[in-house]
Amino acid sequence: MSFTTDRRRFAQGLAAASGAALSMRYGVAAAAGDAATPAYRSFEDLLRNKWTWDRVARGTHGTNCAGTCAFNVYIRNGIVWREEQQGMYAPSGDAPDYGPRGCQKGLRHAKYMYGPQRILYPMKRVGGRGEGRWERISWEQATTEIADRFLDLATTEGPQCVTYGSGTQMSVKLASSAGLFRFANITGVTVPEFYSGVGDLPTGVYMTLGQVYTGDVMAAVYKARCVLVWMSNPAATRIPDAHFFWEARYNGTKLVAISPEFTPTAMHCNHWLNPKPGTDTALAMSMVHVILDEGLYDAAYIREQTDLPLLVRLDNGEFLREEDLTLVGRLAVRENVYYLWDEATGGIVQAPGTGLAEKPAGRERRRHGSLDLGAIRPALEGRWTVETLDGPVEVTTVFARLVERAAAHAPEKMQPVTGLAPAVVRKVARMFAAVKPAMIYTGYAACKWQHGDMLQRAMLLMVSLTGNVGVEGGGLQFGNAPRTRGVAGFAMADIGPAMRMVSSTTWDYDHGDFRALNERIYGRELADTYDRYYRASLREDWFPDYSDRGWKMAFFAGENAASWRAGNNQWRKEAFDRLRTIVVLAPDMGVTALHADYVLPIAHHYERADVMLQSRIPYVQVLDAAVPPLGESVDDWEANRRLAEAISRRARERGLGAVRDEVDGRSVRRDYARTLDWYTMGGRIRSAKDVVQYVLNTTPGVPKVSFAELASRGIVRVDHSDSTLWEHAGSPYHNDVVESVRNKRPYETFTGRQQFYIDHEWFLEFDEALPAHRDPLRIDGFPLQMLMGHARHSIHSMWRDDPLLLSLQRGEPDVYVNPGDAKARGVADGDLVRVFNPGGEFYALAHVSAGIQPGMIFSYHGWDPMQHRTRNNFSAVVTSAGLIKPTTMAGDYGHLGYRALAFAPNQTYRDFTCNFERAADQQLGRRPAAQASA
Amino acid sequence: MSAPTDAAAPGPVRAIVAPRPADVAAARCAAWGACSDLVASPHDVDVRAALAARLGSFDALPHGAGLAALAEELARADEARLRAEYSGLFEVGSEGPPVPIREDLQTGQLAGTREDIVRFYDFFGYRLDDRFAWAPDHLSVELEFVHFLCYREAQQDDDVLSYVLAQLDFAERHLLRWVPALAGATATHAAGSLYARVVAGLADFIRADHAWQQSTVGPAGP
Ligand code: SF4
Repeated sequence: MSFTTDRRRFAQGLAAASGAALSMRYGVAAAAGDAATPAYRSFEDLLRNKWTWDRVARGTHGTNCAGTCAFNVYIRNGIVWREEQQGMYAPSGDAPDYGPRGCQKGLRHAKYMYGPQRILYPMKRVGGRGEGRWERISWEQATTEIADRFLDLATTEGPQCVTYGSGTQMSVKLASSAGLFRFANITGVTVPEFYSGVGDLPTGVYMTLGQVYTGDVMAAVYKARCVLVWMSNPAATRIPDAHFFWEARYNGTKLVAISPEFTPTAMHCNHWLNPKPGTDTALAMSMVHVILDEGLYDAAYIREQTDLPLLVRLDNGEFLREEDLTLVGRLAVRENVYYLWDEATGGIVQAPGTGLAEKPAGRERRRHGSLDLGAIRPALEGRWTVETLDGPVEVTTVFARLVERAAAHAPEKMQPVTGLAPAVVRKVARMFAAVKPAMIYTGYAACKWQHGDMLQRAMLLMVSLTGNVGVEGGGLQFGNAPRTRGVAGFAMADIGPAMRMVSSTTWDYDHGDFRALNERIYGRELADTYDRYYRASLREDWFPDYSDRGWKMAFFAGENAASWRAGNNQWRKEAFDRLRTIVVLAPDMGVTALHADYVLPIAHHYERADVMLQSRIPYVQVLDAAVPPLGESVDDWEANRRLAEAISRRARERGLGAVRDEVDGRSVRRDYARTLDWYTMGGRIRSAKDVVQYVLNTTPGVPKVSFAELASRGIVRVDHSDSTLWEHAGSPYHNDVVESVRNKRPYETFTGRQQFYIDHEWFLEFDEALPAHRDPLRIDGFPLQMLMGHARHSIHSMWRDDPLLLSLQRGEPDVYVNPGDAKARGVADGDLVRVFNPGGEFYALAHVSAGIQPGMIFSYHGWDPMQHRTRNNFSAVVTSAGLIKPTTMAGDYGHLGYRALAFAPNQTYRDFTCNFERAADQQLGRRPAAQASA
Repeated sequence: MSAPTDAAAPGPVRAIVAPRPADVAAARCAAWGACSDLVASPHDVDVRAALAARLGSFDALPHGAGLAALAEELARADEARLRAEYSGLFEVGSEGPPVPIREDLQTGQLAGTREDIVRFYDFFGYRLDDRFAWAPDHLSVELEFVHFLCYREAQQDDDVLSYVLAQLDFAERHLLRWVPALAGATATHAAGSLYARVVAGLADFIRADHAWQQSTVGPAGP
């Protein structure tokens, strides 16, 4: 081939050959003749120099895996090439240490962050919603248009019709959360709290203990002598910490897995109990019966710490209160004075620690009185007649009533319900009660059943009767959370509280018309009944009423709401799709972003500054920005700053004056022209690092280090973390239960004690004053209970679509089915099946497994609808979102009544059934994205 | 720049076996620069102005006619249309962009792809600006690198063979391995569109240029 230049034409476009022009947009070049540039003769020459790193940054993955593992992040040429575990943890006490920590998802992140799913630029929808047609726009255009839409609503209908939803991706990153809450506090948007929205709020724990934080560090597992691993699968979901279970077992601890399906955790345990799905409360109460019946309880402990010795009237089932006994009590409505039968004196006596605080609930309560019994010897059983203002009334103890209730759940009686042999149940109950400390390690799945509150109350009975609550290595291990003063303080600094936080569950019930869903799925009677109680709670002002707010615009950050919302089809149709504007802030594409009008690109884990505190390990962990955010992505703080800037600018340009707003009865003035000024505290807060520093400085129990020092060290040990128990008031985590047990401080419950008996009128009406088994709801004609659990290969939908991680599974979504159920339907392992019920359908591969009971199917969660054929995932068949259990909306009862992040109804994610059938290939609309790209 | 020893270079020792005059290198330098502009993001770069300033860059090259016409078409195109078409194909999408314009993504994120590119860049002192450092495998960046190598070749005041061989190897190890596939994917998603024609034209250009380069390089004489 000849190659000659046309000199005449060439000269028109360029300088002469000798003056070839170098014009570069992306790179800069070393000077020609640079002596450092060696000769190149073949590609091997590229490899002669040792690969070195420009920098090693500290970081982790800001996702709610509860791992918070310290990583070294290796950077060269502005690229993260790999990460490596930073194994420099010390132990708590004599337990094994916490390091090295990590999992396969985290070790994929250096690759994943550069993957095709990454959102790199602000995007605006140009086709119909969900059609997938986008244009890249500038940040300025995006924020200006979003600000205008917000201001249109805020100044006409009020900012409350705009929500700013966040999820677990957000909650664990304290600076990001603080920034979001500050933005919400300034603008007045509604923040639906996701804790109950994802069905994770331990309402049963709150009912019993007056607060929801009962978790210690993971090393506490090692201190237990017996652990029931219940509704939890740590071998798959707590990879960095699962070793504590296996080390405990080597150390002689008995491990018992309790789950309907055979889990990766069960295979490592001494015993595995497999109750039928939804019968866990029956099992727990069976074991309570054994503990009571065989006298295996710690009488001294329960006399002092619990309401079990409190007297209950036999005529109406209510506690005997001061208002029953004295005119003064009746006139003063002294509902929180309770009585014991004192064996020492042979008469009733006011229970210590009751009736002293003005407010029956809250921290105020703890400062008054003591649970110390002194010379009182409370009777646990008996019947006595007490003279009341209404005449003689027969009373007994909560304990006595519990004995009756538990006897109704004896293992032999519950065998048809649980499917478990009574001898096995008795053996495990004895094993549990025989040693101290004993622990129930549980996950959040309990909260997702409609009657999960009663399961938690029953679990707490087991650990309380045996004297294990508040004891190192014992108790009910849920999660703990940092005291929020740092985050809340930042949100409110210079402004005061003006934020709207609402219960997601009731918000969705109102805006998704879930009464209609209940009627369609569970029948009119249930729908009417539940709705009647729901309305009554709002009418009584026990819970806030959001029905008049409308829902017009939504921001979603750090969550993939359209993937997991229970009752998804109904929610999508009635609420989500009706929103005028949807804005998603995310690092990766997912179904929520797919349906957005605007998508704003957010920095990933190694591209941002933040700080994490997870109660399972006693360290503060940094996220240092190893590299700048990819493309035009920015961290959440900066995204909200840009939104705040646009709101201020447009408010000024449009000449909008301040508007009056009202939050919780307080009048608030919102001057949107000053949004940016407020947001940045007058310019004092310039970046996420400044927010981190603020949070570090103001969060109790966190060493006062600079961001730079934290970034250089990666992790810093928090204060008062020598033992495996959060026992010190100076630690960053809640220690209230320990405080009550050790120092005999009253609990924040109505009775001031661990409260197992609730005599609220609704609890009595539904016969839930004490926990009891209830059959899970089913849908007529659909035989299979569907259960879900956190996955080994993803944290919710994060990393769910990673090709390597998919290659370790089946490459696309699957559901686990029992071999008999599969055979009856002509389904073989690997077949594509349609899972369906009246709520909807989705397609997945059948994973035929003998570890699955007949009558159930199991799906690891987190599969995004976009990975499924027909773009529906498990949430299409979750029909239970409207099952708002009446008693979880009770109020005007001490600690019961709406309390954000503590007491609110969970969105229910169980209590439905479905079916499956083999799917014909021609039924498939499309191949899933992961498969297509592979 | 020191000359390599034979012992240090495995495989046949290569040499320039046909003339590669400086003006050819300069012409190719200009053409590769224009190639880079052709696939630069109109959101990041004023592509129309850039190409308008480079009109004629392909004229000197026998295989540049197709791209010359496309460069003119792009330079005259409506900016909004360019932006929409480019980002809709290469930058944004519901499952990522329909046709990622980064080699790593087109070739399935194979281990070593980006490392090899970065080693090329480092070896020749081509350092990306912080803003673009994360995407060394972007087509426009890779083409700019070739533009840079040609520039160095055109200067003729250095070890020319290094830049000649690097162009050849970079084409074989990278551009030829993925740009034809990118052209196919672009055509599948947006047959006949301006950018489908641009990428197809680029694939042809890369192949033709490579064929010419091969004709100029051969085993070193005894
Ligand atoms: S994803 Fe979580 S558990 Fe896994 S390595 Fe990262 S921080 Fe640890």
